[in-house]
Amino acid sequence: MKKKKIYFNSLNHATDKVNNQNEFDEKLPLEAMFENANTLSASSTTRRDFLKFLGFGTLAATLASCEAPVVKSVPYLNKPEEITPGNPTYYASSYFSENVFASLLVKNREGRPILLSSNNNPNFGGGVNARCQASVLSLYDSSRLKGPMKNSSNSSWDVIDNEVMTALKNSSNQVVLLTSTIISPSTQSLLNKLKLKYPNFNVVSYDAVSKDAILSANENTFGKRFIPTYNFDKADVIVSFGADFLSEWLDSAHARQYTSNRKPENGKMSRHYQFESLLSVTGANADKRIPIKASQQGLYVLKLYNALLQLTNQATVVNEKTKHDELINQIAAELLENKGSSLVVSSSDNTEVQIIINAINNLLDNYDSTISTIIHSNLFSSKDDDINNLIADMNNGQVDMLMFLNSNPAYTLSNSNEFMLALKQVNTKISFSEYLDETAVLCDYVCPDTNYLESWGDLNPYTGFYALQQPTISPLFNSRQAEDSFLKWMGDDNSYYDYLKTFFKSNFTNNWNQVLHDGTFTVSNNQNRLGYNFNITNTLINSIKKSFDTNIELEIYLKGSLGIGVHANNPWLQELPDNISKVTWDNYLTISPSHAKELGLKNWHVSNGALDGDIVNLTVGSKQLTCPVYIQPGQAHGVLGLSFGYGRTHIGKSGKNIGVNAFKLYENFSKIQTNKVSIEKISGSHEFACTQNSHTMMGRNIVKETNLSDYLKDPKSGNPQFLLHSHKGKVKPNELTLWQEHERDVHFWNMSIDLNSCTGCGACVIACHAENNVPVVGKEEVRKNRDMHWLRIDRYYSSDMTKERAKEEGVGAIQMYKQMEEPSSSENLEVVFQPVMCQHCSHAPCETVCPVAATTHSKEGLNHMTYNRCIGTRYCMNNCPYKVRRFNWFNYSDNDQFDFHMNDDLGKMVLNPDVTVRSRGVMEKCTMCIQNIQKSKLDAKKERRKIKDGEIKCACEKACDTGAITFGDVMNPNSRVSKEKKNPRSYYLIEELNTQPSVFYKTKVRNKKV
Amino acid sequence: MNILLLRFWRIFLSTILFIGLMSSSDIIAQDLELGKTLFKTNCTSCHYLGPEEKKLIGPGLNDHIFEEHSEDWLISWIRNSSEMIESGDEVAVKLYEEYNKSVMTAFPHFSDDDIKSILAYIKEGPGEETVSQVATGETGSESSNNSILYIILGFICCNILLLVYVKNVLKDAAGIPRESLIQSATSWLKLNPSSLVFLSIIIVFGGMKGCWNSLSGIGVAQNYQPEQPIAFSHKIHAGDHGIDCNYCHHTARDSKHAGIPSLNVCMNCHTYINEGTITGKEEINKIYAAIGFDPNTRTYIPNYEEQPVEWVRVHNLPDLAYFNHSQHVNVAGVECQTCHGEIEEMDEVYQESKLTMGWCINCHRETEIDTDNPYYHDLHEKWIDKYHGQEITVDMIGGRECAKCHY
Repeated sequence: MKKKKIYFNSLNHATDKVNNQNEFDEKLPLEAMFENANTLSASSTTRRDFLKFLGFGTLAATLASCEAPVVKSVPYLNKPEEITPGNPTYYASSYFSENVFASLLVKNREGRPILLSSNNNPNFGGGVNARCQASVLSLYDSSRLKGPMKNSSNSSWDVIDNEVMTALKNSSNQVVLLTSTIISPSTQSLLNKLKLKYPNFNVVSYDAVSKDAILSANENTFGKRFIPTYNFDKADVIVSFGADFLSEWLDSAHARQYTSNRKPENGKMSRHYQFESLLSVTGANADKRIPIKASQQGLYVLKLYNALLQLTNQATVVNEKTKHDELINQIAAELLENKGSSLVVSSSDNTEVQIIINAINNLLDNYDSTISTIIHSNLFSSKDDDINNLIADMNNGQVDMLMFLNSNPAYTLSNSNEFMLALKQVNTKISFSEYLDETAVLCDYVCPDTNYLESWGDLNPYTGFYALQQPTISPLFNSRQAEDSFLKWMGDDNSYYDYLKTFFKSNFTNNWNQVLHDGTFTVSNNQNRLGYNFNITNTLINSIKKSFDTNIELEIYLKGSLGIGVHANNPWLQELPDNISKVTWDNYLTISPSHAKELGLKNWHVSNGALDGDIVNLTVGSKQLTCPVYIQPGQAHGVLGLSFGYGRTHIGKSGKNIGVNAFKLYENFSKIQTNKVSIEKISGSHEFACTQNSHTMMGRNIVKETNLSDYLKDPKSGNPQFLLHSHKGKVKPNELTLWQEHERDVHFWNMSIDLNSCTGCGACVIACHAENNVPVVGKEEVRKNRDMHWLRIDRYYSSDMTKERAKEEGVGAIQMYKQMEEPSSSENLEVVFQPVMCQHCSHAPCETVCPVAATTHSKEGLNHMTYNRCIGTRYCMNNCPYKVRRFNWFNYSDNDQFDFHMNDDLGKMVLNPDVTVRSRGVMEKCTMCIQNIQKSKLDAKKERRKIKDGEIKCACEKACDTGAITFGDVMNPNSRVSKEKKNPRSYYLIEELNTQPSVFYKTKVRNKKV
Repeated sequence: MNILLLRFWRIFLSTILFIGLMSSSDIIAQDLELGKTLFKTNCTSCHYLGPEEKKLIGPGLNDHIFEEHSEDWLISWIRNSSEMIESGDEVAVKLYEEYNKSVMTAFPHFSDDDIKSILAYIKEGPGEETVSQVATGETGSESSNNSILYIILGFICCNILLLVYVKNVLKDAAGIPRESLIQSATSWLKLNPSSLVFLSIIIVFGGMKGCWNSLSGIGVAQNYQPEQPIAFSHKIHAGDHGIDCNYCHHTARDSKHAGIPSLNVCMNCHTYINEGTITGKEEINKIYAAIGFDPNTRTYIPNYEEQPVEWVRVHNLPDLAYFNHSQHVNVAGVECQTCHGEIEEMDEVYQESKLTMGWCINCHRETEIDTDNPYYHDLHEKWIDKYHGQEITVDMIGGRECAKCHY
């Protein structure tokens, strides 16, 4: 018998017969189509008639489509003076959420905020990360609540105000406001007033991811509960135990500080040691990364403390051995050499460990040099016990009313079931959430707060540093700022704006308008430095030692994209690849390769290159989650990683039910869970959507790297000139060319990317989305490598196999390449990041293959892409050695198949009106933000002057907090980019192809101990 | 020798005189030009200029005002009339009462010379405005081209008829029966089969060209003249009253959009003018209805629900083309009429130009850039060498590159 051939694209498909056989997702409704076969044959319409109708219809449709649509233009009735249609206006405002505080400059077009950038203010250094960049899209989220709700149905403010005020008056027990840390002085004073009016009113502070250990440790050692501010820019030796300070630790502004002391041109760089279990962004940037089990962090901290004591001839405290004793001694010596300019930090949730960290920093005289006890950070304040006490009070019936502001305990509490039960004992529950989130659905009243871009506010992130928040758009919905609700319920009819202004005038002498314009101001503070006063006891040391070594443990981490999941419904962030794994639209259990091998867990690529992985049941204590496994090189053996922020059940269409909720396992506010952790493989596989499926550089010089010691000897170290063999001997690639040179006379735009300053955070990717209307394509499409990111950040792992080693050891070519694919072992793994966008080649391979000249070269050195000319052959994409061209496989706007922000009227308000929304079948790519170039040129011509250097900034450059990207005109010999081009560290990507790019990179320099 | 010296002296004197005359007339011309610009941007919205002395918001102006007021009085009145009224100047108070106590806008930033040049312009009167000659010239040459074609066609037809007549006469003479025009044509074609091929080629290619022309006309909305919700006449405003285009479309100078004026701009004048020359009160009342203004009491109605005016856009560029008005109006100094036609003659605006890419590019090919702009300074010298003094047009500096307009 002839067997029917089966075609399959993966083993799964081959076994999964049903899936394999059916071309369509759903069976075609053939029966429904032909069920009236009798009526069909009885009908008087003949085939010829049908064809006539068809022909006529086509003709009519064609003719009708020739008619141009009538376009309406509706001008203002009274035009606001500051708005000129077509020109942007800028407002200073601020953003605060989780560990991100940023002073912002909000770009508005016709009253719509469309782009956020750092308000380069000397008082505040950065902090604008991917989440903050993307928050502008959250403003236009159609899933936000449109108005107040009572008992899950729409209501009005009057009804709610009356009922809440009555409830407030009648409540005899506690009235509690559960809120994340409030850093607004005026809100604080407003809440104090509310307490005067209703004495049973109480505020409970609750940060979803707690920093209680640091706060408590400082309370112990300095007698005051506070978080100091850290100065990574002043530190020459940095030792971090698990603290991902470049991304998700205490403050997103640390990245700028860190890179400012890592410029090899200054002749010195900080040296950074990272002890960590998972591979974090910070670990990837470290000079030396030591993978350790999370539970052993305490021991390593103790060992370092011990080594320091030893070196300073004091009594030692610990005798246990670790694998890295020698290294720790060496680090201790280095730290002592740099007394007062070193920094030791830890992410531990264990107060005792943080106390030891404080002791170390004190020993090293770091307080009030690299760590300030004068200027405190106010971003986190909550105490872990408070929420548990609250739950106990609720259960005892001592809470009459509970309000939720910027907090979502039903999602973020590990014991949320317990909390939800307790919530039933509370009479009145009010949520101020912008969304109908997990907690809001349980509330009697939902009084939607306004988005921060619609709100007034003042912020005091650090001692003596203040920022204002001003609305940049009128509230889109019938929402009301929470502060306005408080005022109303206090019986005060003034608006919060008036309250804020009065508060400001009575507390500060600054000019209100000036401060509103600048966005920030400082007040001199007369606080004194705090004195360290603590004796480390043996009990404390023994309590740390107690928690050593378990079999398998879980560490829960924060992703740079989603954080704690407030912005989970933001499709930009969902599609932003994870900094390290490059996986989008997912969270997953990370595991080290050796551990995975032991347990028989696998990741594999299917025929189209996409990644699939095994699924496991993860058990922690009595709780179980089912999640996919992602094998993460560099991770310590025996540790599993899972990220917060996913598994939202009550949020809009983009974020709902994506991934699993790791908060469920975040017991006792500890990111490290050691209690009975086990995994068990279950049947089935999970489909990942990765934007980068290759791990290593395969022996090519894509990211050039050197060490500081070599760099100081020879600035061109690690960056040898590539030479081609020719009949003239060895020549540079650009000396062998068939092409004619382009004439450059007006401008020649170039971009420099310093790989030493790039931390791989991804803020530039989001900024590029916002500036250039880059569409979101969804998980399925990303899996098919159809992501539309104009700018991607490539991540490469080092490999133990090199061409030199293969030659030495006599390894054959096939074996060599096979081994090159494998990343180094965890101990030796190094990671580099490289942002890649269109390189705007002067000898562009894409231009020569376009049959319709849709991609052409400009006099100013840009590679133009003309959408309306493109016919979609994709030859250019094929011929591009950098793989930066993106093809519109579908219409991504107004298409129900891509139900993201570009499919709803509100979401489209974020689009930049100066940039075309591309349609199906055309190629697109980075334009170097040509709209900004053209605008600045026009401004210069209008003002009859030359273009100033630094005037034109690409979106990615504006977003880069660490200043890794520099854009400018190399025809101007004094421009920053001209100087960068002459820097010995500069090189072109894949120079051997002689594409002569306009983008060049600067070698990465690490500061390893030689 | 003396004679020579005398001659030289005469030439010298006359040259000096000539130069003096020239420069003084230059000064006058400059004054008038400045006055005209100042008048058009600041005064036309309230004052009519011309012999008829039409009252708009303020009195109509012509050289009569110099009979009634001294120049000093006029200067201080223009600079700040309310000050004069307060100081109790009799004439000023009288005028103030006469015009319903509406105060004339003060212009404290005007220098004496500015005001003098305005007065000079008022004295001179508006004169005959010359209309853009380029456009008329173009239509003229086009029609002459066509008539030449007709003449040639007529000439050929005459020749054919003449030949047929001669042939028939000859046939009659030879006693061969006459042929009709068609018969003779077919017989000629039979004799010359190669011309059949030639003819069919002409027909096929002609047909293709026709198809091409009609297809390339798709989406070109030349002469599109939609009906607007308010019958606003550019002829009355820009033409008859000579209001500067930039007065209403002021964003054309600094934004990509020329901007449809918001109604508060209309109300600058129409607070007082509530009757139009053609449509009476009907159309102007639509403005009041939109913005909530009571023309009888001359007050805005409080808490009025305003009704935005939905104008129909006449000039539509596709989304894929980026066009910036300020680039053209402000930097290049292109007149509005170059693209929009003689807008000051249009009661109802229509699309004069094709607005096709070919049309854009053509202009970029022909238009010279302003090399005096400091933006181009050191480049200019480079270009002189490179292009040997040839005029530098927009396309030479990349004005024809795709992504200058498509991004």
